[in-house]
Amino acid sequence: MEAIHVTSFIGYVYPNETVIAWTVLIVVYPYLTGLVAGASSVSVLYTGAGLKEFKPVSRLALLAAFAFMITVPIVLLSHLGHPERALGAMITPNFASAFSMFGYFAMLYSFILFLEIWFEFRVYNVLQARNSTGLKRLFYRTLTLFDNNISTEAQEFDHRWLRRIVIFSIIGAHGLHGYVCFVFSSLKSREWWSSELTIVIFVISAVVSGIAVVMLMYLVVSAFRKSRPDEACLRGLCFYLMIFSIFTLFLEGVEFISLVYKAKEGIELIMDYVMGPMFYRFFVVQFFIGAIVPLTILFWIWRAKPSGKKLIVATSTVSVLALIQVFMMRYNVVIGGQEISKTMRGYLEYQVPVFGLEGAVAAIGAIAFSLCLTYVLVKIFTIGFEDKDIVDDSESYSTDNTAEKT
Amino acid sequence: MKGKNKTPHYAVRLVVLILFAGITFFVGLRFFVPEGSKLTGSYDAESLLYIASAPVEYAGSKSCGASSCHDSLFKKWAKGAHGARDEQSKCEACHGPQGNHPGKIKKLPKVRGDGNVVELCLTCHREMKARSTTGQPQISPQEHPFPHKEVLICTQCHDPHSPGFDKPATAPVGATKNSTNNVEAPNGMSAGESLASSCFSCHGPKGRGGFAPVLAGQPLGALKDKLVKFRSGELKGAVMNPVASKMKDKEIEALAQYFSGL
Amino acid sequence: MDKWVNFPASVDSGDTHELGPDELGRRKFITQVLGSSLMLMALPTLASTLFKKGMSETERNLIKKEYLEKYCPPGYDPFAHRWAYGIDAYKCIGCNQCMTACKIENGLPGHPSINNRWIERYTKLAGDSHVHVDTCTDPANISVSDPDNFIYRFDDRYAEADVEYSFFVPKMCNHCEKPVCTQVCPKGATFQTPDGAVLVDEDRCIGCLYCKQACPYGARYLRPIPARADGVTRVAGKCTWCWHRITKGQEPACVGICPKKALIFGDLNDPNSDISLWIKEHGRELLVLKPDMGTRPSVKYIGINEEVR
Repeated sequence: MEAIHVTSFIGYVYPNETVIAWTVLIVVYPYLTGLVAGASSVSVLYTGAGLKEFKPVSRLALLAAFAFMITVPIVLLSHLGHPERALGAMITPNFASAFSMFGYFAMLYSFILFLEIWFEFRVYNVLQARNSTGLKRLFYRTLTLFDNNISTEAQEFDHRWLRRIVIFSIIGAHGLHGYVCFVFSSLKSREWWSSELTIVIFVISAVVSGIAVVMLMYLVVSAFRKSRPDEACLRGLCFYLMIFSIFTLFLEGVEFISLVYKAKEGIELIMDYVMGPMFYRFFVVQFFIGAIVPLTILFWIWRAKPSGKKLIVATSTVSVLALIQVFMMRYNVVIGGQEISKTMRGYLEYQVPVFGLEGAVAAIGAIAFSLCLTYVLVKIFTIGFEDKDIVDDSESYSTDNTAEKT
Repeated sequence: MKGKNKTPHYAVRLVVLILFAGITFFVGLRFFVPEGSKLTGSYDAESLLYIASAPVEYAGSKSCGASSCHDSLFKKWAKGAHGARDEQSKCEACHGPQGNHPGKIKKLPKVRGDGNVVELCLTCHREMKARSTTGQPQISPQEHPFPHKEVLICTQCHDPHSPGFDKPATAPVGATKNSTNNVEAPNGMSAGESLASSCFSCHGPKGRGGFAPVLAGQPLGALKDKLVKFRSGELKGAVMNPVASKMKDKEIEALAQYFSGL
Repeated sequence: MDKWVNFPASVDSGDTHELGPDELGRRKFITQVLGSSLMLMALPTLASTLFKKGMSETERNLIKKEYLEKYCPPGYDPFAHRWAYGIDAYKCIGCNQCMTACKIENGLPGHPSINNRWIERYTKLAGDSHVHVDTCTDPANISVSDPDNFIYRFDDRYAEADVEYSFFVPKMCNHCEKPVCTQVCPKGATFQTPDGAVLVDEDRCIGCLYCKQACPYGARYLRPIPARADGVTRVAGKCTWCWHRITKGQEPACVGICPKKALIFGDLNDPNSDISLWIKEHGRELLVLKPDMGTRPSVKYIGINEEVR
């Protein structure tokens, strides 16, 4: 018999509720899909909307989104009681379930994202294949499907298709994240989850976390390479971060105020809970440290236009705080929802264990894994080449091609 | 411009690859649909057979009476306060699940849980504010009119199979203090026999087994040894410890001889 | 400029393609995104109308026949029954015998946090504005219980108190007519049989516990030990109305053991069954838990008040 982690409670809760079902891994899950949606939004600012100042982070954001997307199913599967049976949800999906289509949607979106990356980096992969030997060459040759065509026509073809893919990629990213949120908000049994505003808040805060994580990655990479990050790009990111943070804060405020004002059954309990065990997590960390403080800094960046070291310190602080805010929000939704009992007469006080599959270390490990994966993807796809390396070599291509055929 | 563009080779290869992988995956999935799911359109109907095949642990009171083994006890129960009413206190409520017991003769029914008879009775009979006041007698252990100063076991005065208030089934062992010096028995009964009558309420008539183990026909040495150990506390038993603690060596000898000779 | 930092941007051979920073391109992009998402949202509706196919009566009968012959326990016709459960809270004495029997019958651990059924005590003290509720997970009740031996008791904490009213309420899976748990199960591992019981397929459950989240009555849990010798752990568990017993003509273990006849089980299709007679007798007092959830529970109560959730 495996150990049963019983959570202490106050008031009256159903006996089975004292074992929390969805733990910190399920907090990481919507957090990661949010990062995917956010990062691909950043990428799209350049590739789709054509905002030039975001060119330096566009591709980093795209690869980061893919790395997070790969981590999502790993996190989800490791939380299941029987991960080996998970494919069954795709074999006999129960269409009534808000969860049954997740496998298909995640697969479809990962595929679109991969297609986007494939078209985006195809030319570079061809160049890599040409400049390397042995296994590495074989790897890049396979990645380019054994076709090293980088003629102007081919590049234009890539671009036409990339534009079409980007449209579906951005819809898919936010659709998937909204869908993950629907998994929570569609449950009528939990008052804390079942608000209609939850999906909107999730999608908008996803953009906040995406911008923050891409900005932080960009700053860290710059620091390691001892180069200056592009200031116009940082300022642009900060502006969008500010806009979306304001939206998040506003909507969260609306949701909370309407919950309190409607004062349905069990509001005394919810107030007790929010003012008790949730106070620090909700008001101090999520609202004050995570939202008010970064918003002040962002406003200052927007008005005072600092540059150099000041800007770097300010942006890195802001991005870390914004990431904490969004993580805390996911925590307060997922764990908080389960801590408020379905009896509306009591609440639980869940303590995240340090070790184990449900522990803090596993959650940090999952996030660290996605960051490492981003690094690996960046290494694979972009390292070593600049735009200037790309030349139209349609002549050599045609000779290559005939050589291959004979 | 569009007419000039030919579709590059890699694009054709990509489309072929995607179609191949997609079709393989979705066609492959179809092969894994269980037969039972094809029929119902959702769940695997085969699971019904599995769920229905779970072992039955609780056999029900009727099955105890149906066989001849517990005939007399069952009849007694069916006439008594626990069994005669519409609201029956079932055999397995006190004896625990016996669905598997008929197959294994050796495993005889005993009191469920840790064998604490007083707490077992109080499970239903303890006076509690939330309990309905009609039906089963409500007993406050502190106020229950004990005939003796010692803490007694409920079954010493009340036959669990046919409980009543007024006539204790047998005189408790502690009450026979005066006669214990005199091992000689009246009316030609052996000393063991007269003593043993107080054992019957738990161990069944003539020690043939009640909810406590069978005593009749057990080896003399084993019986003596058990009693001595119960007396010293070496063996633990919520009922037997207080009972044996008051016994003399002579009594143990007599009891053991009586039961081993049956 | 460092190569690693400056991620090479998309190939910009002039501004021949539409990837410009111009207002027009951005507007076009946003229109395209919105238009495509609208189209995508319309797709499921279109697909559902296209692929919805009706089933003829003969087809349905054929399926029913195969279902009965191949998959139903011999001699049991789930289409012929409609089970229901009644709980008479006036009679319940909180002896917890039903909980003990249930745990042993269904192979549950003794741990008080893993239950198919449990009993709650609602107590209103004079002068208090709210009721006090306690159950098997209450520390004081655990201290007088013996979970290892499947013995659960209520402590006598209100012996000295000025009690306005106090009563016991047995709780269990409500085997809803419109269950939320089967609605949310991603792969159909939990389902409703034609006789009304809501069951879990141990061999297919992935243990995501979405059903536990969805259940408004807190009736589900994750199995820490296998239910039987060939069972598995880490799947969702719940009350089955002892489906292995009712298909053999026996009553559920809890109903069989109840010393006060506070639990009533039977077939609604049979007008002389215990439950039909009971419903006929108490029809005007019948209540269900959380009716606002729209689940239409098959477990009916009498003798509870508005405080019971």
